[in-house]
Amino acid sequence: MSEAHQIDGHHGHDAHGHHEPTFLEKYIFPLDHKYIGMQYMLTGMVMALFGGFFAYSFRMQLAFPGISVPGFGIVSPTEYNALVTNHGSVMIFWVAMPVLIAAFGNFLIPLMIGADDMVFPKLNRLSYQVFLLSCIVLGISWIVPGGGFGGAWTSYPPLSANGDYSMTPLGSSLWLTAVALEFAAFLIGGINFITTAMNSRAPGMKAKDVPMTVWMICIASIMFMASVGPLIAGAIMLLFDQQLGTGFFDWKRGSDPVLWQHLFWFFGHPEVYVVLLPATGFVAEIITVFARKKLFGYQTILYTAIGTGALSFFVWAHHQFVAGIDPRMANIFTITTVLISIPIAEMMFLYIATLYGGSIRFQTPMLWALGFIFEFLIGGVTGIFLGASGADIYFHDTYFVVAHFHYTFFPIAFIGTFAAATYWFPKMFGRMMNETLGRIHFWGTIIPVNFIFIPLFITGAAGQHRRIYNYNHFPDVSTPDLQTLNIVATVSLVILLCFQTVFLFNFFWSMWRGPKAPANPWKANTLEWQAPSPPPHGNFPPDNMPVVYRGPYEYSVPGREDDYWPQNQPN
Amino acid sequence: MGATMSGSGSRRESPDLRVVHPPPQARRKAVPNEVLGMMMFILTELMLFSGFISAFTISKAQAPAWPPPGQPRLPVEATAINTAILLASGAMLWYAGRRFDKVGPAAARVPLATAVALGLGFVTFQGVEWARLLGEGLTMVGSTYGAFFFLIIGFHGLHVMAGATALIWQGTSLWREKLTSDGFWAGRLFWYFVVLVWPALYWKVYL
Amino acid sequence: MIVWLLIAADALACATCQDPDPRRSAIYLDMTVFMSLTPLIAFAGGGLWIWQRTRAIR
Ligand code: HEM
Ligand SMILES: [Cu+2]
Repeated sequence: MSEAHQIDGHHGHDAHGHHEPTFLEKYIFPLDHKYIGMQYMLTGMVMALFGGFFAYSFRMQLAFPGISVPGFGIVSPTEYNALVTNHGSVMIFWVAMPVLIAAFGNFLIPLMIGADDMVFPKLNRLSYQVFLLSCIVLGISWIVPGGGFGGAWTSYPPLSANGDYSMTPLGSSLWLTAVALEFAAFLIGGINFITTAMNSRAPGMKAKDVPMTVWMICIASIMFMASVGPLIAGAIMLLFDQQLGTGFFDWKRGSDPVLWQHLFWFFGHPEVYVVLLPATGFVAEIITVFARKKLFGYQTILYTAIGTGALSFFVWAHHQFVAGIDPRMANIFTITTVLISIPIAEMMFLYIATLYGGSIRFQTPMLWALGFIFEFLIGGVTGIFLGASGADIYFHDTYFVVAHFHYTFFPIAFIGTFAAATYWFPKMFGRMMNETLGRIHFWGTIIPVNFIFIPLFITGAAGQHRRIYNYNHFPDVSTPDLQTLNIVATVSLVILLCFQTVFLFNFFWSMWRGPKAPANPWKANTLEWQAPSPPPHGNFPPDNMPVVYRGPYEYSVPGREDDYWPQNQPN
Repeated sequence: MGATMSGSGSRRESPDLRVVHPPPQARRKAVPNEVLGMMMFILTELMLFSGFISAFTISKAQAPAWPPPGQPRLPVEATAINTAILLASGAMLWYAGRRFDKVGPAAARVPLATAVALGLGFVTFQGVEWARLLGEGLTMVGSTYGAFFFLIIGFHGLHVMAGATALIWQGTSLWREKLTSDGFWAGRLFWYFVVLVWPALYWKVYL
Repeated sequence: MIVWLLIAADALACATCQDPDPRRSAIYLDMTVFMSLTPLIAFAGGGLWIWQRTRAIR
């Protein structure tokens, strides 16, 4: 490629000066999107350890009420509530979001579209710093007097609005502040993602040549930005209620008791698709590479994602079927909820169709991708049960709901992450992960997961209520004869957590000791694999930026020697 | 860059694998980075204010009487004048943008300064009204009515101040002849947003 | 079954919900529509504008 047709669409910014960055500049305050992505990823992993530990502590209490949990001690009712609340918040806001969107978004978007960096590198760095601050504030909220916030991740008033009810006057405000900061971080990040994907694509990369992952992360970012406003508004009002004593959510002073729930779920439901879409993007990437087939129905998948995105703004009240909303409204929301499962199911079927007739290689990333489809389908199908408002009146706030959303969130936040991490690891660190350990970890995770959550479907359907510290005190919402199932779930959780050490070991060991990875170990088409592993600062040689000639999924094209066809190869 | 090789439209159909395709053209941006980023930010801001407004509308619908008896009335007429001031500021800034792009950066100085001055006038006016209302006993804690008033109008006031600060900052770079056309465009967009949500807030909260 | 449950929503609702306050319901419906459509319209508007500009520079 000659000088003539390189960058122009590519910005030049001062971050690409020619001096060698110092350690501080490179690892602590980096401007390079790859390092920011890794910072997000490592922070997310640390937060995941917290989230997992919390789950372990309260699940032990549920299975063996009153015991002194090894590593935690006796779980008091307040602590139980704080554990449940912070488990949920951490896993959604500080694990799924930063890892799926921020970490992989930062790392992958510029590489996949053939750019040298994000368009606003300084905003990018700011985004991570705000995020880190939010983690610190959250951590502080756990140790202040009164303990961490215990009003559930949904934080419904009046419990959350009034320190006398929640008994955590400081913890609840810090929690809320942390959530608000985290939103600010993703807002900044999202602006960057979308602008970069719009304006910095390699010459020749048209809309249909953009890899699915980039599309999905961008759609997710747009959804996030369009839905988060009302929740920020609500959070500010709630903070005022907590700290100034205003009455925005105080029904005693004439405010609407379910107003917060609307503001929260207006964001909350799009949010679940915000984390879902990036994961489906990774899966799309992986199944095409490991089935050596073209992605089936690229455009349809794109439209289903956009359709889901649009519809997800119309379904939020399905979380409030029993909150006292008008039954006619409940009917409307039932219909929209059932409608939204159509595009998502369609997407899953297209993925399965992609596999059909492919020459599938069962390597670790592929196992995870297949695991994702399988587990997520269970989650989606049970969502339809809950979406039917009549059924939900019974199911609401039982363990059935818990099992439902874990069957969606676990595939997304963990299976999706493991798929992506094992797939892009060679690119991130320039080394290969160990395949055997990868498989051990896969089976050691996927089997316990089902043994955790299938029992919860059963106890939930039998009427066991969620968010209860000790069922002996509430016999009418418990299922004492099903206590064995609770024990099964807890024991499986412990097994699952133990198997994660395999991943951590594999990850960090391979990072330094794994065999060196070639630039394109999986023989994939997308541009990130055409850069060296790990990509240098600026990703591609500045005088030889990639130029795109075709779509990202041209595998096994008849008549070609290789079964893959990189996007930047002229022929 | 060969304008004749417009894009690479035919590459998908070409069945001959040996054909060496001409390299595609470099990308031209439909919308500058700063402007696109600002548009996304404004989308969030728009939803933030929508959230406030719908919360307000719902709470208002719950109340038996609005404004609650015994609470001070809001200054409807005075604020109408103030609304005009803010709109004038927006128009001035639009004019500044036109001058910047059509005539040259120096020509934008006076209208930009006027726009900022009008904006600051708006906030000052609001501040005076606030002081009066507080004196009459309208507080955030006293009633939801007061709480929403200070919340929404206060939030908008913060936006005006932030926008004015941004414009002043842009003004200094304009004077030093460093302001880019795209950067100015993004700055103006934010101000347009601040100016244009105001009538909606005024309509909902005051009237 | 799902269809049956759909229809049953009103019947299964508790007494308070079955007797909704029409004014409040109407406001909620308005706000629901407003909140759902605003982002879509804003996004569609912005998207259309960008699309036109993209076509113009080609
Ligand atoms: C196929 C589409 C889906 C449908 C029809 C659906 C339906 C529902 C319904 C009706 C509820 C409310 C249950 C109740 O509280 O009584 C619910 C809860 C929930 N769903 Fe889904 N869902 C779907 C997909 C998802 C996805 C993809 C995720 C996550 C990524 C998710 C995460 C959640 C969460 C976190 C809750 C519980 C929130 C809480 O109360 O704490 N759902 N779902
Ligand atoms: Cu939902």
